Amino acid sequence: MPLACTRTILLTMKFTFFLLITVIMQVSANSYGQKVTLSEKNTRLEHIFNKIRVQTGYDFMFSGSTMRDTKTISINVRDAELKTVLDQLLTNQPLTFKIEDRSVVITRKSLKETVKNTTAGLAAILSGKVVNEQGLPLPGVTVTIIPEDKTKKTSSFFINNSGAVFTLNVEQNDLLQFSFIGYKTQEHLVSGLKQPVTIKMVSAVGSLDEIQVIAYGTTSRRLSTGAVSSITAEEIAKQPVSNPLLALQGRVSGAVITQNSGLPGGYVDVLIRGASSISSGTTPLFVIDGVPFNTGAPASVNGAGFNEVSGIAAPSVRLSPFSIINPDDIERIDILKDADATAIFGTKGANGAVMITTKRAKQGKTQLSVNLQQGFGEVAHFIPILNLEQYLNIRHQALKNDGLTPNATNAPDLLSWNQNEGVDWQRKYMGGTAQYTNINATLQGGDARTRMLLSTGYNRQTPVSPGRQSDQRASARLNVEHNSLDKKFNAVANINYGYNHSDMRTSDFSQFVFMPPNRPLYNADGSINWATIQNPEASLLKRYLGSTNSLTSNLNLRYILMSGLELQVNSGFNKSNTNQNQQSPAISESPRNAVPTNDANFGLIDNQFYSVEPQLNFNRKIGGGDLSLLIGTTFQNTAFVSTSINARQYINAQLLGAITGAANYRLTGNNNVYKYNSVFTRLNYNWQQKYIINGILRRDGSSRFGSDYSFGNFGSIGGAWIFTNEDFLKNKKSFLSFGKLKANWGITGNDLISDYLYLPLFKPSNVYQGQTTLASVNPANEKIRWETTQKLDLGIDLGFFNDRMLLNANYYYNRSNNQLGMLSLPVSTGYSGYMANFPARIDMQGVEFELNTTNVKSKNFNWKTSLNLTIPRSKIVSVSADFTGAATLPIGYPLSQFRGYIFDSIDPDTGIPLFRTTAGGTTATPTMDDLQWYGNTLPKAYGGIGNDFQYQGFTLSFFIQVMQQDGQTMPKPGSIGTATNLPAQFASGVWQKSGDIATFPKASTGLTAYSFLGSSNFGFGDNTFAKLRNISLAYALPAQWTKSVHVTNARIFANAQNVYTWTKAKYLFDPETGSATPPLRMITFGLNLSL
Amino acid sequence: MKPANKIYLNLVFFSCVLAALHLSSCKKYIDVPAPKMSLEADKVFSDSAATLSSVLQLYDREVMELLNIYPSLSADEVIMPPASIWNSFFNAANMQGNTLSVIADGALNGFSVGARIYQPLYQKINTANLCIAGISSSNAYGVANKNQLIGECKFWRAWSYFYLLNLFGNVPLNLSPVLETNKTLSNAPTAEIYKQIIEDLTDARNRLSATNMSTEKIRVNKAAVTAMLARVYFFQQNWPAAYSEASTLLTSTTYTLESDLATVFLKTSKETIFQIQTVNSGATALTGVTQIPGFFAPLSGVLLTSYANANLLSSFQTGDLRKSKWIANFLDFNTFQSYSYPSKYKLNNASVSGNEYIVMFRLAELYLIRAEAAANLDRLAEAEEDLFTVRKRAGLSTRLALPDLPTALTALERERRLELFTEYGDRWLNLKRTGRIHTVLPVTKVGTVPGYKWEPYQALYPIPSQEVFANRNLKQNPGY
Repeated sequence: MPLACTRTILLTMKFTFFLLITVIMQVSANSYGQKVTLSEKNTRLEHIFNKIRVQTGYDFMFSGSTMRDTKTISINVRDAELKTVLDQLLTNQPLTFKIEDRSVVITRKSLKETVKNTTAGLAAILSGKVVNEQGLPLPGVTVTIIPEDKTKKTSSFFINNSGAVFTLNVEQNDLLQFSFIGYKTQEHLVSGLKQPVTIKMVSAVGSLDEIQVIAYGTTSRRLSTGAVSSITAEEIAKQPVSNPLLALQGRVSGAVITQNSGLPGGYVDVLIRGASSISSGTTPLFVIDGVPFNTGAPASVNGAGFNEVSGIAAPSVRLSPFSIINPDDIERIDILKDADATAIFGTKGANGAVMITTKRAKQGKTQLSVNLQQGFGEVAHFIPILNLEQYLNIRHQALKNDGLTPNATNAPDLLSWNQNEGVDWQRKYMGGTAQYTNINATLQGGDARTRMLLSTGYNRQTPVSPGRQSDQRASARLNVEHNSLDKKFNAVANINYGYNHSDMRTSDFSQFVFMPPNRPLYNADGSINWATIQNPEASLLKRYLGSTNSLTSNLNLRYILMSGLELQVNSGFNKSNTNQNQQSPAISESPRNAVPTNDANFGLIDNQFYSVEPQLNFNRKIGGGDLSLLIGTTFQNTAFVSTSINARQYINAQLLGAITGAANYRLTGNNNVYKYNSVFTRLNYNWQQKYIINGILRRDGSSRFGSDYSFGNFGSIGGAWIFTNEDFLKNKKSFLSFGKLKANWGITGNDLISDYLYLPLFKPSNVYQGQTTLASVNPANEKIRWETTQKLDLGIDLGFFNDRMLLNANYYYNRSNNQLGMLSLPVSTGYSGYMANFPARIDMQGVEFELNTTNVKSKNFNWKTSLNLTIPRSKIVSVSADFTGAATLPIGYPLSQFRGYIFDSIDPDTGIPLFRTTAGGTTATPTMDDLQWYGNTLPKAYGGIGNDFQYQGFTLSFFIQVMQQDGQTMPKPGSIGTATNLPAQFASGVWQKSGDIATFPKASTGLTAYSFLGSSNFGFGDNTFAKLRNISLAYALPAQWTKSVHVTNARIFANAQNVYTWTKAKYLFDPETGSATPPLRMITFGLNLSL
Repeated sequence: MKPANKIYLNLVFFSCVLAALHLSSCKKYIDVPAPKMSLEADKVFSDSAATLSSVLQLYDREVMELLNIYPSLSADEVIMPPASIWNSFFNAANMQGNTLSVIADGALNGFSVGARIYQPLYQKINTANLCIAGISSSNAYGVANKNQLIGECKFWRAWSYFYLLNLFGNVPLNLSPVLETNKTLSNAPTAEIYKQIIEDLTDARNRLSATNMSTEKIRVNKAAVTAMLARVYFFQQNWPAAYSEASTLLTSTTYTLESDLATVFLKTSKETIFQIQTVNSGATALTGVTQIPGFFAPLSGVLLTSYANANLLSSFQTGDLRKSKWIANFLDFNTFQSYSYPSKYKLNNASVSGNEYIVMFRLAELYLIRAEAAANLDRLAEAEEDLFTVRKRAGLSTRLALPDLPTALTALERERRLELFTEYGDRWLNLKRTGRIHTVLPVTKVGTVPGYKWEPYQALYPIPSQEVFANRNLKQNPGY
């Protein structure tokens, strides 16, 4: 407890209509003498008060702010009267006292008393400068003069000259408040300052005043009215991931980040506060440096891979658009969740937004820093599977059960294949070591007027499967910032060029895990053996080459028209080109299905985007508060052109890399244009840092909607109440140092739908008589419009113990009640359905907590903990029966609920699985009527805990992610007893003879019951896991060592990602990816040098 | 001016500019042209080439394969391979046999049949309706051209309704491209549908030219319509009309029976009255490939989708060349068992060019139509002659005597089966036409289709359940 004089106990803390906190100070009333003896030199008043309390038993009552700017004092008295001592102590202080019932109440002197008592003049001219931590001028700081006399107006000034010098007319007891986003706000009493004043601003990382990037601006955690979660470069740097989105996994509340496969370059899904759309896109809006990031093909609305063209499966199906972004270039990522934060994005706000801010050049001497990282990855857990003996045993049982005699045709694995030695395909095809290399160099420097940062990076990752494939990225980025002499004009440009090249195979080798262990790969003559449909050696002969070039640039121009009024134009341009070639030589294809030919696929994508956003910012003190008004408009244009060529029957496999040489071609292509225009405004009013209201309006027009509805209105209203700034709490110090309540509500839209849906289109179809035919594909619907989601958010931010512990809690309630989907039409109209909006209500609720604490803070040792937890719930409240998918959407359940038969037991007599009937009995042959909704894989609760320790030059951190969810806890057996291997649990528990109480059905080469098992909840259960996601250890070499080699900073570090997973589902590679290649356990070592 | 006022003025000015911008240009800004890979409906019918393209869409062959396989499975022509082939040693995952085996068993799953036959037929009807409406109201073509295109549309509309009526019963009669009214159509009476079919065909014949639109007989002309009319009158038991329409074509010198059975299904066959072209030459399909749908001839190496019913095989007389030329054997890759399957078409590689087109009407059918019409008109000698013409070509040189009508009808029923097996469900439709379905199928399918049980209501396919759901005015066929 910071206060020494009284034992202040927080007695009650009650929630009533909002929250009422009553602090009752309990006064100790011990009886002591009133004589005081003191001998102090340059001691703080609080310290002296404490001594007096001990001697007299009198309690001292005051708040922390009362004691601001008090001077230290020297005093020497013996057996003096309490009152005399207090008079002496407070003479030259801005304080006065009153003795009441064995307590001393200390308050600030009124202006009159000050004037009377101070020897200094009434008014003064104060001049000085503002500097940053390095002592360099820091322009951009706002100074607010708060007169002691509350009847007088406060006034603010913007210190924006290059030297950051100021001259102010002040009164002696005015309070000066220096604030700048990203820095800790400082308060100084004029009387406590010495001319010329130097105010040193301290950056506010990890605290309430840390800058948060929001739509069209920035805020701080202290003043924000919306729900925003963030991670910074520091957290990204610790994680050896090539996709920046993976660095978010588990670290932010309210967002689920899923990796579909551990193959390098694979797609990463981000879902913020759950999926609110039934059939449209659910990916959030990604914004890089204020410019929307174009994430892929418009045709497949739900976050298509960058390279996805029909017919071409890139490695792990989709290649993430973020695989061309260098995580080292990212300064911070902010996730915007509620209406207050996203309504200004209008039709793009419903799924939340991810704001990525890249690093900007710092002022100072030219600095070169190099980051080298090299590491290794491996599959952390292999699925225990049957060995050869166990496998053959099951096969023999199957044939016996079916009354079949093994022969060369129906059981080559029992007769002609190797009977003594089996191969573990997992270790053969996934047991390798992946290489991870990351090199990054940054050169930066500049002065107050012009700064630049040049960074270049290279990343390479190889798979665990055999071969020399890799996914590589090279990138270069230039950030330049310039300010005019008068500081009124500012320009920032970012130009990023990224190149990604992947020759990763399109097959995920995890698909071969369950091949019979004795399956021969080659025939005696050395040719590929096609005894079964798959042969991994054939997959090794297929090739994939994909390269993406991407230019992402933005230019931000600002001009201060006059104090408080700023014109800004933010414009962005990005262009990406993807070129893919997939080669399938005849020898890699099974001759069983057709005569194999040498085939190749080609995909070319050109994706271009620009946006121009002029904005006007107006800031002014009005009515004792800060008003800030933003008005802006946006013009966006996306053009997407793709060509896909399917070329067949090359004469020779050598020719598969070029389009020429094939006998037949199939060509498909797309050419879409998507335009978007809107006006938006945001009004924010902050009164005395106590009450903040934030209102947003946006009018959106999008080319994706029908002409009846091309424009729509969106908006939100929100407010925050910083109750700890209220007088009744402000002057009473408790362990609660900050408290804010916030609430907001708004309407956002979702326009992640295909282009041109409203047009009645005729599309080219087959060719007849040499002429391309045209087919009518959809009936017109001019009424197509965006989906809407209403969002409500209630939040509380609390800071304890001088903000060393920060707690943020949010409750959200999102309701989507206007969905877009295929409505059924009688087929006799010629169409099976048409796209239209339909009534359906999906409710999503949840609570989110984020807790950050600084457990220990000392010169040599620091310990910080961060914790987050989200408990989401969602359900379908209603769905129009007209929607073609209505039958898949059970009322009262979340979206994506699974339906199937309910497995009961294995019939002890027959060995056949029994399923529950709706009537309550069991049956071996369930019908459609017995289908039941049995579960989903949505997280029930998720979160993470991270700890950071710093001891002198060492830093150690670890992060554990926790996810409570259901899922398939083992691969569903398609059949037991065909030429497919099984997880090791089948070594026992398979039904063998009448009377067996078995876990698994009897083995058979073809049992209809297996197909019921396949569509049942067999193996579905608790899939909760905890994952030690990251451990990072770094050591900063002592300065005296580095100095001698002219190195400013040198750090060595070791990082480990996906270290260990605690889970019950051991028959999966990983509960995250199931039976696909899991996220690799990656261990890297690196060096960081700054010159 | 005080700075504050200036600020407000600036703000007002900026807001006005924004508002003005938004009201005037922004609507224009977001106005995007139609996608470059498709055409808007109104652009189609103002251009004669685009109109022709949408009429040619009627020749889409997707439904042809299914019109062969489903009714043939429902009848006693083909059956599904035993489950052991489908779920054979290494191919357990291949479950696509399910739908077909269900139909063969007689227990129809309405949704899948509907989705695969009902829907494409109504898509053809809708295309025809769109084109008729679009062409009628446009001045982009000359009268002759207009008549030709409308004639083709009307033929295809009639052809589609013929199959809808005979497979599904009283279906809605949709004759205009107006979505709002089509959504609520109720079941049309059989007579009304037949009336419309004949009206469309008659009008089409008046509009179409006598000559082919192509040398390959791949576009609808007067002869194709006549063949269809003969079939429709025949199904209506309008014997004189059926007789006369069939005679028109049989007396024409343009068409003659091919003497060699192996050439009947070649694209150069003289017997063919109308056929569907199967050569791709661009757009979304592989170029330069003749794509005979997989049913007609199993693709090389691919498992059989169906094999011949044993009862069909045993019906052939010794020496009937149709058995040796139109039935082939398939050696299963896994079990090394041999299966017989209908192989009127031989092309079995999806990516080579060949010389076969899909035959829609051929002369042999018209001989059999005329024979049965003649028998019913008590001209038994003529019937005997026509029957002999067909049998002679199959290598059966002895004349079958037709002394009376019952003998004639029995002989003709058998002959139709042997001549026209797996051609557009001819057997299924004709057994229904004569009402013999209820007595024939229980006999011919017992023992060949495991667990087969005939229920009279199965003579009609169910209207797809999604139809009955989406259109409350529509009644399901009894029994489903």
